[in-house]
Amino acid sequence: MNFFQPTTLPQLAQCLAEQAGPGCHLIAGCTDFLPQRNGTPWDARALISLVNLAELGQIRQENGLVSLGATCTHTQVEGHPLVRQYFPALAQACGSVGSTQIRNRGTVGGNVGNASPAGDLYPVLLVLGARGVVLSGNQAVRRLPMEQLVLPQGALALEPDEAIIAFELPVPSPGNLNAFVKLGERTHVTIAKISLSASLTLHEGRMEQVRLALGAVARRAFLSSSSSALEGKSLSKALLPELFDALSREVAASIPDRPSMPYKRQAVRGLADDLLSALLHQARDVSQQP
Amino acid sequence: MDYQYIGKDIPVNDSRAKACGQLLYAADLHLSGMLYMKLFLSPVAHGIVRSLDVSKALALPGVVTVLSYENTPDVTYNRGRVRATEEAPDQETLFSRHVRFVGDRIAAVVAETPELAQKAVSLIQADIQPLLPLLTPDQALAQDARSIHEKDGVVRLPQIGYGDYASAQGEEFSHHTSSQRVSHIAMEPHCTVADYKPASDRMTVWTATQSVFGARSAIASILGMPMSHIRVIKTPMGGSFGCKQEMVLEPLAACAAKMTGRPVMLRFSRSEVMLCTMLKHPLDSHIKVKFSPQRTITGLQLSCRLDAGAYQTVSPDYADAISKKLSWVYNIPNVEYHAVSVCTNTPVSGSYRGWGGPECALIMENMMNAAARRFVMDPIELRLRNILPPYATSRINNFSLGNLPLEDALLLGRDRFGWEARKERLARQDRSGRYLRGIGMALATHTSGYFPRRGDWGTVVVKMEEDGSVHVNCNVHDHGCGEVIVFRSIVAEVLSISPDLVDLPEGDTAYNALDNGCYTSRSIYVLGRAILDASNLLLEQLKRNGSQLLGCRPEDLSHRDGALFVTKQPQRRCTYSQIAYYVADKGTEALFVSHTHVPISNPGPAAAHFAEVEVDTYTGLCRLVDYLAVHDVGKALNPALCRGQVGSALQQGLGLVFCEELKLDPKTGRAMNADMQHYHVARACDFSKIDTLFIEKPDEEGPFGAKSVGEACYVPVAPALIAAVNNALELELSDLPLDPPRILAALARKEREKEAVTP
Amino acid sequence: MIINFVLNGRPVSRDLLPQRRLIDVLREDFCLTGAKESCGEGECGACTVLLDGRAVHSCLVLAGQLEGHAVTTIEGMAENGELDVIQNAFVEHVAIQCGFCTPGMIMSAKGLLLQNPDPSEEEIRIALSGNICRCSGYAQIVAAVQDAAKRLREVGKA
Repeated sequence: MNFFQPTTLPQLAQCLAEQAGPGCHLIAGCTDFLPQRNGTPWDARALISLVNLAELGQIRQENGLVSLGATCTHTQVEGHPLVRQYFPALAQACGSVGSTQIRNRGTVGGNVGNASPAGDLYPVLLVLGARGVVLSGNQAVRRLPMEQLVLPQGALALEPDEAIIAFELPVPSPGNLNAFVKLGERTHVTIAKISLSASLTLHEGRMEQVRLALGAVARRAFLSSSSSALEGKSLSKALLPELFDALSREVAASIPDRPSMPYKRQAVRGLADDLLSALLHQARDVSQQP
Repeated sequence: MDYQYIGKDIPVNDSRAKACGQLLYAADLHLSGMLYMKLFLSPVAHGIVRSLDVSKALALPGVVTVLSYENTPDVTYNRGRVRATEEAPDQETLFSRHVRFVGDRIAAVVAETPELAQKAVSLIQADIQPLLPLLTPDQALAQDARSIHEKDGVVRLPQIGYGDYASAQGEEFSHHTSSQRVSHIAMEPHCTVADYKPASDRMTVWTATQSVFGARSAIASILGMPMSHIRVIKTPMGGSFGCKQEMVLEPLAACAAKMTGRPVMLRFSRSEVMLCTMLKHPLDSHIKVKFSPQRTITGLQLSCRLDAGAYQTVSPDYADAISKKLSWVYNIPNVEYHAVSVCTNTPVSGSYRGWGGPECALIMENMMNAAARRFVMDPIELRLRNILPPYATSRINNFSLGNLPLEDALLLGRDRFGWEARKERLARQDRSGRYLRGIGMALATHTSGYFPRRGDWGTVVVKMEEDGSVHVNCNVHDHGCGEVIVFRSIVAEVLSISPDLVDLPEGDTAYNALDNGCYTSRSIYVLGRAILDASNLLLEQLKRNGSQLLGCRPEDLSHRDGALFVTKQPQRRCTYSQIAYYVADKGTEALFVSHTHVPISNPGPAAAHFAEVEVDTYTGLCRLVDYLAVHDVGKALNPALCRGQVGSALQQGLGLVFCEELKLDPKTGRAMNADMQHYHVARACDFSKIDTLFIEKPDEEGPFGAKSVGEACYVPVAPALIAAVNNALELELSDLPLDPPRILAALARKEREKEAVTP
Repeated sequence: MIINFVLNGRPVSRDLLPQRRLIDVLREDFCLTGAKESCGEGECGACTVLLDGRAVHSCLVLAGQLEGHAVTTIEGMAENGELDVIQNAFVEHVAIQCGFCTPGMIMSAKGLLLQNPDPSEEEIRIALSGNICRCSGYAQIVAAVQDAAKRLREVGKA
């Protein structure tokens, strides 16, 4: 087995060009890679580890975009001032991934790259209008909206010699609120049974450009049509019955045959309630700012 | 009584080594030339292996041998048997051609490294003719589980009880309780190291077991070796809760060591622990109770069904144990108990903390709480009308339950928990909101040993070294909850020396006298008393010799801090070390005491637990708000460790009630969550503060008055939590676990019923 | 391949297969058996070590990824046989029972206090939620970490 640890993007491109294909894995925090292989005599032709590629571990703001390097850890993203300022949804999602140890090691690129239905970050990046930055073996860089980065079946839409190197998120316009809530089997260290992400603009007290995403109820998280339950309305807890009803129907329709459907259809009420609370909380903070 | 060491919060022995990562558990051992063993397990729930091809595994460089049913002893045994004379169904062999569950042992590889062993296992091919799996007790009972075992696939206990339920007068109340498959999740996965020397035919086994003699007995009978050729040494144990009681790994590793003539380590992965050792029994129970108009119980009829899994092992005994505890809390004039233990093609059920006690309490306390609701009575009041008085006699087995302060536990707990105030507060809560709170309680007792069952005793050797330090030899099996430090404190208290000067190594068949091991919460009550008595005998010997040295009568002497002195002339003194040298110089005796203690009682430690929980009615998630455990421990020998036990009981109880369940695929019998990513236990964030109140009314026989606590504290947890949930939701749930889907489904059902009544 | 990293404060250089897990390297090649394996998939925390000062699971780090990084294990906590403040607090608060979770628990506590010298009880519970203890109900452990934090703040170092 060959082990590669590129430290620059050109080196990474070269590794991809030379090694990509069956039996070659891109790895970073290994918080999914190794549990999947636990107790099995696994082998690989090549491993390309991204953790020593310093550039992929950076978060910066440029030209109205915030760029998150693919190997930023959840801990790093959760605590970063730019993320806290613009993307509370992302901070919440990163803060709710696994345990401290997992957040210290697991990366945003890995979370999206594994394309797990229960992955917490994809739906957040989706509602925030992020794009994935992809490097290929020939050093070309392309940018894909989240929905094109991950296919509906849940797999990554990348060529074997391509790697996600960053995510770019547009800096939200004034009045934007965004939040992430999830429901697991416990309060912490939990895999999402359902997650709900939202981004919207509060304009003269009304919610506009509402984007909601439901996670963990299909192969891939998706933009939810239940946003219509919020669009154009003023933000209040009174919206709960309507939002719950819409989400519940959507959940039932997306997993009609799964044994967990009856539960998820009901329990999404808790998420809807939590989401409205989180948004109201943020709206108060925003209105208190000078 | 003012003690020097008893009743003090002394850290567990080896705490410093544990804090530094220096303590070696079995998996940390490394013997020169050691090999690693890995099991090849059945992928199907039921079948016959038509052919087994191990050639590819054997061909892998570094593989030393492959064991299977083809080349290992075909001796049937019962993994739960401690002594060869115990009656128990023999159904299991080291490896089996007839595989009875997903995870049954077909073969094993022994190789130079764990990785090679693992790889070689993946190269073994078995052609298995599938048989119809019987995955539920219903399916198995329909054909008496005959396709699983020719004999004893179903064990029906003869009716147990007294009086006559049918003739009991009163209003009959029926109730049903069921519980699920649960794994112990001791943090240390099972590991055994066996070393065999062919030239001398000597076997040494290091293992974290609850019974070194049980392990030796199993190895001797399966491998046909003299017991004197086998030495089993207990290693530090990273928790057991019953999972290291039965002999699972020891015979396998010993067999591999004997076949290879080299040391062999067998270490289970978490998933092997969950599949291939034991689980808590799935239980199904129906109870009928008759109540007089005064709401006293006049009779009880209980029938229990245990799913034993693929082998009966200890299950028939376990079913019997449930009945023992039926007459230990309430005064019940007529009891009729029926039980059946059914083999199915599922992982093996076996010992779990409390051994029938928690099952009995789950059934009885759920019933009492449901009856209290039916009668619109306070559950504490209903219990006060039915509890046994102190020194009551257990109607089953006919022995005294000791000072049994059940009433104290109820009343002290009611006050401390603020039961009435909470009840009033909760009666006023807004029931239309998202969160609902409820309170619940449960009452229980447990054993402190085997008595009156025969065969319980404790043999101890205490000797003093020349410098006045002490060596104790006793067959102790500390699970990690601190018995060793408590025993050292007992010696230290008697002799008035620092516990640090007492060495007390654990179970070792080469040095200890025969002893059952750590079962049925007997350690403190039986071994602790033996150690206390032996220490007193040593003190007598010291005084006898000290009196010669100091020229006085033994009764004139007192002792303090490692020295004897004449009580009325404290300046006339000599240290233990001076006595030790005096005795050695005298050359006629040794400062050495051997003592056997046979218990003549078995008091039930009373326990009342009180819980407040909050249920999220939108998601079905439950949160523990407050918890109080009131425990009659006789005397808390080390209160911090007693509180640790209570915390641990709650850790497991929260799991049992809310989230833990090993789920099997209903079609294939394959475990769906045999790993910790999918099997969830309570974590630090799931806990609130736990309040513990000890009742310290000394027992007559226990050391310094102590009774048991380690299992007793687990017994009432689940019914107290269930009662709190039911109180919050105004429901009658009693099928575990109360996981979020089950709670939401119950709430939805209630809603529909309400709609059906209101036009 | 030759891998250079810092182990318990000392630079080491070893020829290791890059796909081996850190926990195996520590236990087998360096005889550092303090990190325990209980689940092998990053759920129980018994194998926790510090990687560049942050708590991580040693069962989820590959040897090849150590190049240039610093690992601290439980064995690196005590100095000259003197227990570290956190280790002492665990002993004194009787926060250690079977001890199997203890090394990982202490390393998680260390990781927390390096980042947050004055954590609330809630923050401690969250930080330790990646470490399972089946023996105690966590009360004594949380108390030990609170006390250690206090003592460390008094001497002014984490």
